[in-house]
Amino acid sequence: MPYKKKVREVMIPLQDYPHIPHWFTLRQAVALVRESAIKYAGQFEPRTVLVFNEKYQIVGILTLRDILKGLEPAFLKESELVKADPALALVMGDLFGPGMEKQAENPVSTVMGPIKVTVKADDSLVKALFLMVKENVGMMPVMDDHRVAGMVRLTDLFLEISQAIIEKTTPQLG
Amino acid sequence: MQPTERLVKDIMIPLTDYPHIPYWFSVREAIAMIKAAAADPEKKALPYLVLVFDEKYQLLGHLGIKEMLQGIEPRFLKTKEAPRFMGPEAVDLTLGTLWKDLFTKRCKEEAKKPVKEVMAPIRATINASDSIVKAAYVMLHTDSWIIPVMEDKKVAGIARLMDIFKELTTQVLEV
Repeated sequence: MPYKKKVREVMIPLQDYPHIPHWFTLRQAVALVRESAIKYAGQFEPRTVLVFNEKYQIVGILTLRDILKGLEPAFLKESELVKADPALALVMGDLFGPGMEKQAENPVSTVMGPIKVTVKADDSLVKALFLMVKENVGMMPVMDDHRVAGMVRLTDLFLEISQAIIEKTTPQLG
Repeated sequence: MQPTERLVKDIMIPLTDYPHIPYWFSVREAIAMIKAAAADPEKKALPYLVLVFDEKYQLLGHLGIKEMLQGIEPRFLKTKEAPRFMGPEAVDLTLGTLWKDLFTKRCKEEAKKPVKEVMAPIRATINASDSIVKAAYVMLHTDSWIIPVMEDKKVAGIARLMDIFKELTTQVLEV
C-alpha cells in the first residue's frame, strides 16, 4: 500500500547525496557535481547540491542553474535583442569565456537558493508527493530529528505510488 | 575547442534512446514506459518525461510527473482541495482517512485515458546545429531540464541540461 510506506524507505541517504559547506567555491561545487554524475550514473542525476553551515545545519540548495548563473552572470541578463534571438547572446559577449574562471572562485553562498520545503523521514509518500507538487520542486530534503537524513525525489515517489496502476492484478489499496 | 563552439548534436541523446509514444497511448502505458526505462541498467540517464507524437511523427507535447499525476489522480493537483489534504496547519498533516482516499483503485480506471488529455505543450525546442550556449540560454529561460532537438523539422533527440552543464564547466576545472 503506497500510502503506508515512509519517506525514509525511498530517500537517497545524505552520505550518498552531494553536499558541501557554504564556504566552498563554485569551482569545488562544479567538481563535486561532475564527480557525482559519474559515480551515480543510471541511479540519479545530481541536479542539486545541499549546502550546510559549520554546525551541519542545512542553509541552502544549489542547482545547476544557480551554478551556471554564478559562473556567467551576464548570461541571464536579457536584452530585447537577445530575447528575440538567443544566438545573439554569443556575439554580444564573451559568454563562458576567461571571466568565468574568476567567478568560479566565489563562494556557493552567494548564488545558492533557500530551502523551500522539507519532509520528515516518517511522513507518508503521499504527503511528500503533495508537498513537492505544491511547492513545485523536483526533490526535497528529508529531516530526521532536526537533521537532514537524505533527499527524496519526485520521480521516486511517483514510481512508488503509481506501481499499483501498472500491476496486472488488482492490488489491495486502502 | 571552446565550449561556445560545441554544438547541440554533439551532446544529443537520439530519440531512439528516449521514451516517446503516440498520443493515443494511455497514461498507464506512459507510466509503464518510464518505469521500464528507470529499471533498465543500460540506461545512463533516467528519463523524467515522455515525448508525445502524432501519426506523422510530429511532436505534440510531453508528459512529465505532474501530467501523469493529473492523469491518475485529478483531485490531487486541484488547489481548492489542498486544505482537505493538508489540513489547516501543515505541521498537523498525518496519515489519516483523507490520504486513504487518494491513489486508490479508481486510479486504474483514470489511467486508461489517452495521454493527449493530460499532456503539456512543448515550451521550446533547439536545432541540432545550434551551439550548446544557445541551448543553455533557452533552457534556463524556459526552466527546462531537457529540450527536444530538431533536425530537418523532425525531432532527432533530446538535450539534457546536465550534459550542457558538463560542457560549459570543463574550462573551470582546467585551471
